[in-house]
This record gives sequence, C-alpha cells and structure tokens, in this order.
Amino acid sequence: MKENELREFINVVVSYFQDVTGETVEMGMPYIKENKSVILDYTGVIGISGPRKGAIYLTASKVMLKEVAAIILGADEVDDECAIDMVGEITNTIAGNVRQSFGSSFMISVPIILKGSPEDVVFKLQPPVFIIPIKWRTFSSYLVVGLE
Amino acid sequence: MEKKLIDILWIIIASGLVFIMQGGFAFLESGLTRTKNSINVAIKNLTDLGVSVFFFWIVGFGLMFGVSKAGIFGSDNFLVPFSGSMWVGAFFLFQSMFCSTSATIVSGAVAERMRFSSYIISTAITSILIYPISGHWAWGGALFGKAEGWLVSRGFVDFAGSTVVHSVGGWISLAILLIIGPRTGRFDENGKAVKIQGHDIPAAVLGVILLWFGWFGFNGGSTLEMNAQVPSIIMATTIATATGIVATLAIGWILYGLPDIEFVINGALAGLVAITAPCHSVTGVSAAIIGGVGGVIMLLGSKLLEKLKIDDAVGAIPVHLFAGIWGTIAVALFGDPKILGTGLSFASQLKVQLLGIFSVGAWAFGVSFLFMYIMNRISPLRVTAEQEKIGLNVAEHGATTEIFELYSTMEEQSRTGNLSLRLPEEPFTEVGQIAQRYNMVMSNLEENLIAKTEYLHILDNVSDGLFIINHDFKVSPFYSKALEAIFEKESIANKKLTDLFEGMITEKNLQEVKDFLALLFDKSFNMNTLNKLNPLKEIEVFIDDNHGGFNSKFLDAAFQRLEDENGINQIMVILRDITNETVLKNEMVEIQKKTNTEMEMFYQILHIEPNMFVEFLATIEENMGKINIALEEDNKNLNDVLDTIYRLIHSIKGDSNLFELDFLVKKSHEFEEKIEQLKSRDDLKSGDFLPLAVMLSELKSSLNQMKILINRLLNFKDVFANHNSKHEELLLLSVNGLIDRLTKESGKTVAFEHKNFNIKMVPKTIKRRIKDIIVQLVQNSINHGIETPDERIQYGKAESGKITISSSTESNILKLSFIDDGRGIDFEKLRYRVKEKYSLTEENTQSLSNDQLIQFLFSPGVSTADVVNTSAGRGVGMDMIRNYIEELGAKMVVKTRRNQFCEFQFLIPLNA
Amino acid sequence: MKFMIVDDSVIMRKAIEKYCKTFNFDFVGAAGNGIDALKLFNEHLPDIVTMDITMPEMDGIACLEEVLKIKPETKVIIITALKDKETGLKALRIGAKGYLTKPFSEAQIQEEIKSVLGE
Repeated sequence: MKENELREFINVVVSYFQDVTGETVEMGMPYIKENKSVILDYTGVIGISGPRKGAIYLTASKVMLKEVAAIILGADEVDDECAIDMVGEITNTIAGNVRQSFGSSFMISVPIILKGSPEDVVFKLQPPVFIIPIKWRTFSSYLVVGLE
Repeated sequence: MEKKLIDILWIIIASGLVFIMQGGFAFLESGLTRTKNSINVAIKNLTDLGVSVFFFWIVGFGLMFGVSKAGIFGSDNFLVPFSGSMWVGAFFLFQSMFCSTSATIVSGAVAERMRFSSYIISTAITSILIYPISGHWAWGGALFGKAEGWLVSRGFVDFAGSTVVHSVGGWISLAILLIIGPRTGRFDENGKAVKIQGHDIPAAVLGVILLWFGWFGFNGGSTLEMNAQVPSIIMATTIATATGIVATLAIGWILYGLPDIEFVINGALAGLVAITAPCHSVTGVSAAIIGGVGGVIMLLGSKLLEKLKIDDAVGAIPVHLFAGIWGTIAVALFGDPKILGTGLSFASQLKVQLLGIFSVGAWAFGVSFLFMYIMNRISPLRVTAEQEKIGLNVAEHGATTEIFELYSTMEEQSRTGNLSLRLPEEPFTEVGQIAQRYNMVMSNLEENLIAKTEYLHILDNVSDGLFIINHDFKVSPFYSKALEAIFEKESIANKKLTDLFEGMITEKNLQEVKDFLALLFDKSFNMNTLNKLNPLKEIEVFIDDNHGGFNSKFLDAAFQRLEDENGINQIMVILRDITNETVLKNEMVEIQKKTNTEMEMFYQILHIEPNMFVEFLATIEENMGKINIALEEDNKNLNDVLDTIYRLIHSIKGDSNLFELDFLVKKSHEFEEKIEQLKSRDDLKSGDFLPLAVMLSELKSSLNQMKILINRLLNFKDVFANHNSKHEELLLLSVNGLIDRLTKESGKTVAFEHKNFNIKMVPKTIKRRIKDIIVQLVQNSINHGIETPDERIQYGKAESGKITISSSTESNILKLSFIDDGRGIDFEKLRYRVKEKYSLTEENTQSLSNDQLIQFLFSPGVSTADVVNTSAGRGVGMDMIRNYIEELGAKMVVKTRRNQFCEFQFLIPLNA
Repeated sequence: MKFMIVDDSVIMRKAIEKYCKTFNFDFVGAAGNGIDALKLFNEHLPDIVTMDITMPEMDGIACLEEVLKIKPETKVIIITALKDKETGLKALRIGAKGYLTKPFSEAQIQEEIKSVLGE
C-alpha cells in the first residue's frame, strides 16, 4: 500500500464531509490494526481485486451520519434510513474515485452497506490494515484500508 | 320482326362467340388470382353464367326488352317464350349472353375475399334488376326494332354496350369493393400497394385471346343482322384492341420502367371495351385512337384506384368502367353522325352521351351499393380473415388439389418439427413425384438429425467450454454445457463474447480481448504471433459475490481459426477452468519466493544465537506495538507523539544494530529521518503522520517474516516463555558484540569489564530497560566518550579504553553503575549546543551551572556529537535514558571528570 | 527483401543482424532512435523492419504509425520488454505484423520472421 494511494482515499472522504457540511474535517492519526476491529453503527465496504486484492471500508456512528444528513437536507431531525443512505453515498463516492484512479487494471465491487458489527468484513482486508480516523465536530468516523 | 335466316344464323353464331367470352373470363380471372382461390374463381364464373341466364330468362329480359312503361322499364315477355318466334329466341339468346357478361365482370374484381353465397345473390340482383333497367333505358324497344327507352329516345348511342354492359359491371364492382375492402396484404402499413401476383399468367393470356375472339361476336353481332357493317365493325374492334395493347405497353413501359404483363392483358381488354360503343360508326384511324386512349385511361385508372386504396383483383374497373365511359364518350367524338342517325349536333350528342353515362352510373352504383350495404349488415359479404388466408378453394368449397395436400403436410411438418412425417406418393402424378423426392430429403434430414443429436450429446458432456464465435464475436447457439458453469450464466447463445466477459475482468483486460478478437479474424496476422498476445491465457476472472467482494477463478482460452474459401468466418474457442491448477502453482511460486527472501534473511541472522534472537524479536515487537498505540491514542500534543515514536524507533534501530541486521537498521534509519522532517515543521497536523503509519507497516512486515522464519527453522514456540534465566548472559553477549563492532568501525579499542554485574533476580521488564540503558550508554561512550588510541596516548592513558558495569542490591533498590574512562562530559561544548538549540542569550547560557547543563544533556535533540551516523549523534540516546529512568521510577547520578571518566549511577527500585 | 533494424542497444542491433543472416536479406542498416529510424526508412523503404518499442525517448507506437504511413505494406515486427499485452495488441491493431518479447533467442526471432513472411 503506498502512501499516496492512502492519501487519495483519505482526501476523498475528508473532501466529501467538508463540501457537504462546510465545516472543518480533520484526519486523525493513522495507525495499524492489531487485533480489534473498528466497526461502528454503519459500514460501507468496497471490495477490490485484480493485480492487488483487499478491501476499503468507511464506518461511522448513526448519530454522526444523521447529523450530516440533517445538514444536507436542511432538517432538524432525520430518520435512520438517512444514515444508511449517507454512508452509502460516501462509500459510492470513494468507489467512484477508486475506479477513476485505479480503474482499468482492477476489479472494483459494488459497495455494500452493513449494519452493526459483521464479522466477515474483516476477512477481506489484506494486512497491513490502516485505520484512519476522520473527525468532524465531536465525532470520529474511520476509513479502514486493507489492500495489498 | 322480320329477319332473314342468315341474320338469325349470324345472331346465333355471335351468341356462341359471346358465350366463349365466359370461358375467356374464367381463364383470365383464375390466372390473375392465387392458386388457393383458383377453384373458387372458376366456379363463380360458371355459376354466374347459370344464375344470370336463369334470372334474365325469368324476369330480366322482360324488364329490359318488354313493352316499355314510360321508357323506364319493360313490362312483358317474362319467362321468355321461345316457341313462337325464332327471332325472339335468337335475340334472347344473344342478349342473355350480354347479361352474363356484365354479371361476370364483377367476379374478377371482388375475387379472393367475397363469399360465394353473397356473390350469387349479387349476380341475381344484377340480372333481375340492375342490368335490365339501365339496359332498357339504352336499348329498350330493340326487340321491336324501335327506340323506346328514355335514353335512346333522346339520341343516346351505345352500339354494343360499353355503358350498358361494361360500365354497369364496373359500377356494381366498385360498389361491392367499397363495402368489402381490399384483400389482406394488398396494402402495407404505409398504404403502399403490394403486388399480388397471379398464379397462371399463360391461362390469363389464353383468357384474353378467347375474349378478343368472343368480342367479334359481341360487337359484330350487335347489328342483329348479317350486313355490310359487320366486317368493318370486327375490323374496328381488332384495330382498337391492337392499339390498346401497343399504347398501354409503350406508355406503361415509359412510366413504370418495365413491360408488365398486366399492361398487355388489360390494355387489350380496355381497347375492346372502349371500341364497343362506337365500333359501328368510326373509321379505322378513329378506332385506333379510341383503342389506344382506352388503354392509357385504363392505366391511369389503375393507379388512381391504388391511390384510393381500392383493391380490384383483376383491374375490372379500369378496364370495364373507365374504358367503358371513354368508349361511350368516343361515340360523340368520333362517331359518324350519319351512321349514328340521331340527328343531333356534335355538342348535343356529347351531352346526351354524358347524360347516359351519369344516369346509368347513378342507377347501377346506387342500387347495388344500397342492396349490398344492407346485405352486408345482415350477413357479411366478406369471408373471415382466416378463410381468406387458407384460400377460398378450401374455405368455401372444401375443394383441394393434390398440390394442396402437399402444402398442408409440409406446413404441418414445419410447424411441429416432426421429421418422421411423409407425404402420400401418388404414383404417376407430378405431385406424387414431388412427394417422393421430398420424402427422400426428409429421410436424409432425419439421419442427419440423429448425427446432430449425437453431437449435442457430446456438447452436453464435454468438461470444458467449447463454442464458436462469428465476426461479431457472438457465440453460436450450440455450445457445450460446461460453458454455462464457467461463466455462471445461462442462455449464452448469440451473446457477444466481450459482453460475457464484461464485469468479470478488468477494463484493461476487456479492451485487450476486444483488440485480440479483431486480429484473430484478420487473415493477415499469423496465428503464432497472435498466440503470444492471447489475453485470455491463464487469466484471473472475478465474479461479484454480492457481498462487497469477489470470488476469483482462473480461465484459459485457446483459439482456433475455422477457415473456408471465403476467409475466416468463425473461430472455435476452448475455454477451460484452470483454477485448481493455477492456485496450486501460485502457492508453489509464493513459497519459492518466500524461501528466497527468507534465505537472505537467514544468512543475516544465522550468526545470532537463537535465544537472543527470540528475545530481540520480542523487544522489537513490543516497541512497534507501542508506536502503534502512540498513534492510536491520538494525543493532542503532536510533538510529544513524535518524540515518543522517535525514541521507540531509535531503540529498535539500536537493537538491530546490535545484531547487525542491516536491512532493519536501514529501515529504522529512514523512519527516523522522516520523523526529523516532521519535527522541523511548524504546522504539524495529525494527517502528517500517515507516512509513519505506512513505514511502521513495512517494519511490521519484516518482523513477521523474521518471526515465521525463526519459528520454522528452530521449531520454537516455548522459547518465548522460557528465556528469562539466560537474560543476563544474553545481555553481556550482545553488549560484547556491540562493542566489537563499534570499535572496529571507529578504530578504537575498548575492554569490557562486567564481573560485578549480576541481574539474574531482576524482573524481566526491568532487565529489558537495563539492557536498553546499557546499550545506549555503550554507544554513547564509544562514539563520544572514549578517544582514539592516539589521543589516549597523548593524554597518558592506556591505548585501550575501558567500560565497566557493576551492580548491587540493597533493600530492594538495584544500584547500577556504568563507567567509561573516556573524555568525560565536555561542559563547554554542551553549553554551546544548549545555547544553539534553545536560542538562549550569551548571558543566560553562561549562567547555567554544570548540574543544569547535565539536565539538558538528557533532553531531546541535544548532543555534543559533530556528525550524525547510524549509531549516534542525534542526541536522542540520552533522552531515551531519561525516559527509561522515569519509567522505572529510578534516580540517576552523573559523575564526570574532564578527560578522565564519566560515570552513570542508577538507583532502580525493584518492587515498582 | 530489404531488412532494417531499430533498437537503441548496439549489442541488440548486432545480435539481430547476426540471427537474421540465415534469411539472406538485403540489410540496409540499423537505427538507434526514432528520428534516425524514419530517416533510414525513407531512404531505403525496406520490406521488413524489427522495431524496439520500448526505447527511451521515442514513442514506439508513433514511430510505427509513421513507418506504416510511408509504406503500408511494410512488415514490422515489434520487440518489447514489457510483459503487458496491451501495447502488443495495440501495435498489431495499428498494423505491425509480428511480435517478440525480450529477451528472445535466435530461434525465436527466426521463427517470428518466418511467421510474418507467411511460411
């Protein structure tokens, strides 16, 4: 996994939140996954295959996603569906970006959304797995990259 | 009326000729329509002859030629009696043929879709009412040699019946056509006319010739006597027919580009109809013109009908109605008034002709339309679409022909696909001969089918994907069943190969496949060359598992060109699933690769004592874990985090150095440099730590490789647990090794004294720290403290330097001492460095005491070294020691004398 | 048949010349870069050309296109160091007729020339 590739993925997520909320979004300190997985309420997963294999996922708390969705919709309260939509949107954006930069030499799966803590996501991640916190307001979401 | 025998003879002969016209009509109409209706058309012709004569005898003749009532209709001579007068008999015979002619005109126009029963009824109405009444107006009184009908008494002339017979027939046809509509398929969905070809043109031509022949009687006999006019009438008739043909052919050819048969046929008939009214009163030249114009009018009339979407199956309306009207007008235009004998002027004659045309038209069209419309409401005049499709032969008459049997059986065969059906082979018939040969073909086909079944059987069972693609890369319908399992798709037939692979291989590969397939079909490329570029050779394909990931397979495709004289039209493809073989092969390759890198690593670590190595790995792993934790903790003070990580890396580097693991040392060094870079930044952000995480992962990866290696080589799992006791010896060994190396590099000599050093009883974690501290101090001593042999001699010291470590325990406090006999601490240099690092003023720097300066020595980034190398110089080692001390909760005392010695004493509590 | 070699390595050029002696071609010369290659080509209009696609400072594909524009019937055999089939297929689609990967043996280049000549 090269640093510039990681940067690209991170930038997509950071820009997404920034553009959509207009507020500051910061990348937290990245570290390597040891044993415990980082899975929050909703997770969007993209599988990658081809010359290099692995997966990328973005996981965030329901509350955070709902707050972001609320800003977009200009509403006070949004329902849980919006949170799912939100994580799906961002994941799709990441996938699209991955397709653009890695594109023709890779197979990029259709993103899927998972709720809660699914066990099988972790198996697709190829070590070393990088966990990158992405912070907005008081929340931390995590971009997790496990790609050869 | 007084008639001579020769007149009667002539009338009878003429009747016979007109009778033959019925045969002419039968052949004409049957030939111009399709086989499936041929019997129906023929029967109609025979039937309407019988029906029309019958009703004309009962009622029609009387209405037409009986004593006139107000010039509108006749009133006697019903059920015409013959016995009395031979004149009446002959006259009736002649006139009845005319009536039949008029009636039979209709059968052609409405052919192929009118119900037989409806047709008979219309014929009846024609001969009972329509024909006789209008006929009376034009010819009433002719039985008595008088002019009694209201039209004829006004001077209307229609010699042989252009209006009376032919246009009446045309008007009735038109009325019925408007009600029953065109045949199915005659006009396409855009309204364009579609030609429906007649099935027997020779018969149609024979029909025309019979009609022409019969017309000699039709026109010639209308003199009702044998006189001098007869020859010229017949000649005029013939000339008009001839010019009818020629003019229609010429104009038609010019207008439509080819000599259509119908031009000739209907051109002749149009000429005949046109000359019918004026034939007794015109010159040869006039006759020619009349015939020619009649033909052209017929031609244009045909096109008009097509435009109006009126479907006249044989062109009866253009021929009999339009040409008939023209003929009637031609009487006024060309007729010799003397012969006409009406005493009218040209204009008046023309007027009365037109009057006749319109009044007869109104009558014939009006009455027939009314009757037919009502009848249609009661019971449809037209057959059903199904019946029309089957053909009226069968639908109306249940009549089949042998060839029809042939057709039916063949149709059933094509419908059911039952190849075992055979046709009845009637010997000695032409159809029977066809049937026989057909059966032979079927038997052959059945045989082949069995062969095909066997091929299909093979395709079902062969274990690889076997198929053929064409120029458009489409898979042909017969492919091996295994192909579906490979693609995990069904119904592959006629799909493009490139489409099938889409979504299964990368876009790049897909483009390569497209390019490759195009080249395969190009003969100018050699197969050997192309095979080198086969993108589907041992290719990995991916199938979406609907779970955010992919399942992968390995496929291999081999291509074979199938050539014939026309070039390469097809390519045969064998597609195999080679997943199992490939996975095995890849595993072996991986193992081989790993073995190679492992061998390298192995050589490097071979010299290290295994127990020590395990210990070393544990330490490094612990440190890496700490680095990761530091990242994970996400401390707000980024500089602190940097410092922490730096210390840990430095330690790893030191340990790696200890064991001369160059690859690890190099990596750690790069890591350190990166941290340096970050430290020099003013605006440090957590995002900047990304490269550190990446480098950490690389270090971890190296660590893992070493672990695996050592595990396998030595089969050690428990050594991790049980190495405690050896610790101290390990430590001494490694310090010795370190000293050896450092001295070799620097060209100095150092002795290592440790006889009073014993830390066996000390807890493991503390031991480690002690080791770390000693390692740092040793590095520091040898790099900075101890002088080169030359220098030492200058100072009057022994050439070899000495490092002494000792320990003692007192009431749970471990006292540790480290002394080197080198330069001692250079306070001036230290002062200078501190001033630089902290940008102090000269004053402030001067005011610092030695004790304070020593404090600074243990802060990060301060060193008195001049050069940075892999061992030391960054001024970090001492800072680490401070950390260790803090960690241990220990105290440290520093004693030093310039150029003599430097001692570090540590008081470490053992029960912390 | 006139024969030309394009390759930036002196050794390669000599080797190819040697390997192809058996064909008794009329060897018109060798070029070490794209510019010289086109110049030489224009001068002699050879029938067969071997062209190294992976020479630095030259777009092998562009040179191939130029050569084929000048004389479309030329049989060009491209030689590439890349394992990637993409470039190879692209070159063939443009009009090259032969394909070789480096390193190749004497037998391999001879076989490829035979294939391209239609034997």
